[in-house]
Amino acid sequence: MDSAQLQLLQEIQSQLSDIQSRISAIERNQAVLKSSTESHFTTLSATATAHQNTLKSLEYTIADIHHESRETSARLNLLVNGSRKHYTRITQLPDELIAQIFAWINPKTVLKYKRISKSFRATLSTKHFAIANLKTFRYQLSSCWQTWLVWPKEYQDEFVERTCRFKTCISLLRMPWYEKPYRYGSFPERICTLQNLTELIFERQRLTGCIPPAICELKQLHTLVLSRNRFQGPIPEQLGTIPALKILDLCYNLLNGVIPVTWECEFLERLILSHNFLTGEIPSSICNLKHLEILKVNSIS
Amino acid sequence: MVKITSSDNQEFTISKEIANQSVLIKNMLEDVGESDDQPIPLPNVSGAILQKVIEYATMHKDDPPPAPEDETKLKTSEDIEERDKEFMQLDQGTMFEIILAANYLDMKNLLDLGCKTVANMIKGKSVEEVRKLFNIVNDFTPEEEEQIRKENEWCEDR
Repeated sequence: MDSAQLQLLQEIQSQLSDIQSRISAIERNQAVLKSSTESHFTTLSATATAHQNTLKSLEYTIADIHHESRETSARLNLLVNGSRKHYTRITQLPDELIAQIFAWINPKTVLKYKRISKSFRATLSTKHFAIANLKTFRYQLSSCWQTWLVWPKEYQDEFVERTCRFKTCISLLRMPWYEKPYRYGSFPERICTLQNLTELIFERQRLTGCIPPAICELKQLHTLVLSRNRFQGPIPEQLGTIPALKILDLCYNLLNGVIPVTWECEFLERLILSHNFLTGEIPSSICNLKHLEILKVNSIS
Repeated sequence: MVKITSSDNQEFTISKEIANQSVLIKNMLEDVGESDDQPIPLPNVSGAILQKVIEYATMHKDDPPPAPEDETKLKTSEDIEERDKEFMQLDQGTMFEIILAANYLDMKNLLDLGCKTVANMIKGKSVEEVRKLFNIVNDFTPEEEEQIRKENEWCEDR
């Protein structure tokens, strides 16, 4: 090995050691950098968490403020609403609601309020009102028949309809005897649809017009008293065919014509036709009535 | 929760069980579906009245569902719960507005309560007293009035 070669080797060796020392320096730097990055990262993430917490608490505060403001406005409304005056009057309610209010008042007294004013009279005169009123009081209706005859037509009709619909058996329709009858009117034909009627007593009611033949449809009827009214015209011919009839009293009316020929009601006990304007003879079929106890047919002209 | 707004733009947030007491709101909710967050406008009811109505509905939110109408049960206007009686201690104007609102919102119980309360105010009073109570002008001529009085004589003296 010559000196020149030796020198080159030495040079390479020194350069190698230089590179080695540089590498170790770089390695050291790397380690420092790594640790510093890590520490930075930790700090950063801690800061981020802190920021997040702050954000959350801010959000809560905002929600609180919203809630508070809503509460305050509600409280404000409460105060404003509480002191607000309302000037709506009963006359501003639609008829339908007036009817609903008065429907809660007993049918026996409610119609006097027709006198309040024209619009009240109109509302309380409708069929709609009669229906609502009788619907409310349907289970006290048994005490209402006392006023039935003086009721307006829309009440009479609805009462009969309800009675038929609910199959309530009205066995008695006795109108109270008034010293001063309130109304003149004809026989309310709707009654003839009350199939279960057993007793019908309209005495001294100043009823006018004819006795409707439809009355013969009341097959359960055992008592029919229409005395002391102002009925005119003939006695319905089929009256003697009501099978259950026991008492028939038509005295003190203005009935005319002849006494019907057919008498098939075998249980008839009282037949009172006196004080009318009936003509002709007493039909022989009456003689066949085995249970007949009283027969009054005087004043036959 | 359900949001409703009154005619004067007051917003109320109420629970569904309270809202459902109004058939009107109930139907509206069914129409728009659950997800819709838009408040339901109630242009016929003022905030003040809506507040009273909500007060009533809140009071009755735990009521059992109404029994099917009992045909044999006697209905009378005297039949009012004590708390409802207290609730209806209002001036006439508010009372009539509540009746109108209950009718519009389709709340049968509240409507019945309002009507019964007014009926109880009328009961037992003469026609003249009722006119005075509600400040109603008699627009009949004396002859017309006498005619109606005669027609209804049978119920006048009771």
